[in-house]
Amino acid sequence: MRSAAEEGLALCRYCRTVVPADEPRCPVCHDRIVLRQPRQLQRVWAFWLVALIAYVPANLLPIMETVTLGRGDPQTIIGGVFVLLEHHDYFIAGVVFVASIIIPTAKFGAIGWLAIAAARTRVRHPEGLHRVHRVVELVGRWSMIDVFVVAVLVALVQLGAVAQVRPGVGVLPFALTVIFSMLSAGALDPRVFWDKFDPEPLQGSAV
Amino acid sequence: MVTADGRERLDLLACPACDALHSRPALDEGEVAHCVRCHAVILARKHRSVDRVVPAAAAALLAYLVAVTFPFVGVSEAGLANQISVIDAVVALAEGRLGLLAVVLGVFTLAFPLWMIVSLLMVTVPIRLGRPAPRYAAAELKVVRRLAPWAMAEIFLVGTAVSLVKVAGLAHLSFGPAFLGLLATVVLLAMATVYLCEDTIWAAVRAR
Ligand SMILES: [Zn+2]
Ligand SMILES: [Zn+2]
Repeated sequence: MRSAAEEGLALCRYCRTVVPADEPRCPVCHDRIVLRQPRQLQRVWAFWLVALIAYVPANLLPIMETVTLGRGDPQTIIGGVFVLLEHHDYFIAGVVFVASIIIPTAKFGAIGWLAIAAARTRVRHPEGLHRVHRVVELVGRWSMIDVFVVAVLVALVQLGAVAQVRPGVGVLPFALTVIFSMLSAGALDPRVFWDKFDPEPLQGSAV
Repeated sequence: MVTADGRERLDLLACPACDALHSRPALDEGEVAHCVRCHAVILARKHRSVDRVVPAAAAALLAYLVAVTFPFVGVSEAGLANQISVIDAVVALAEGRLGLLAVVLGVFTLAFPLWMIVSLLMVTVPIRLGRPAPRYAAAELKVVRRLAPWAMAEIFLVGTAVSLVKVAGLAHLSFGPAFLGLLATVVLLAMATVYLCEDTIWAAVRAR
């Protein structure tokens, strides 16, 4: 199986026209022809790092504050899950826990693993890496749920002295975490796994 | 006008996911070609694509207008009530302590879905009317593809459902027509995106 790159050809990522790799622009849609994004792993790691740094205050700072009868009650992400558990809303607690805790942390691990694998000189199982990348791209955006929960509660629960919800500063770094981890996953081109596909096991003492 | 010196290889197709080179298959409507190496879809020709994208996207636009003009959700307790439209929510957030939250909400749930719907219509309506692909078709198709992961109206709906559960113990809830409107927008936009046959449109762009 030959790849387009090996034949000196490149695929336009938008209109899927095959052109010589030295063509600067796609003749059909005029998009820039990039055989493989240079320094793409640096981009992946840069976005990944920003997301990770933002994830610390996102978890430590309250994402919202409920004020009932004059008493304020700040809530962090994990605190919000516990409140739902206390009210026996187990399903919703599960949704928030998965979207806000499981997905972001799993995503950091997954993208990091993929980026390390992509930096190796040879890849034995590109289809597995490729599948992980697809899942990360598909699922990652759903972490935004908690940001929208805060947005709706803040806008909706404005009942004067009875109950009010105020946004907590933690919601902004959390939104940044989601956005930058999406950018990080998007910067990774799964074709690099296949470029380095080499099914042969290493020979003897070569290592 | 095609600037190419005819160097494009229309007889070939590379897998967008793994770059394996294939000869470009000639598909009939409704057929899908998969990569022989990684099984990703390399080419799909959808059945009566523009005939279905145009009504779905037009209905999505209508549903969107309902979603932004009518009341969305409301709460009431002890004689106090608050009912908001989605626009009210953005305005309330903008005036509040964290104005940036209004930007997040406005961009991801309001601006991007609308932009996608309009772009879909701009590309497909002229082709549906039997005209050649418009000059801007390539740019608008790229918009559709680029925005897809960032248009988050469906995530906003789930977020709304979660917040209503959180409020349920605190106050009485009410739903406005905009809630159904946004739900319909999400479903119809998803349908329009699925129906969209990019290959047909790009073929029309190439033929221009
Ligand atoms: Zn192109
Ligand atoms: Zn492939």
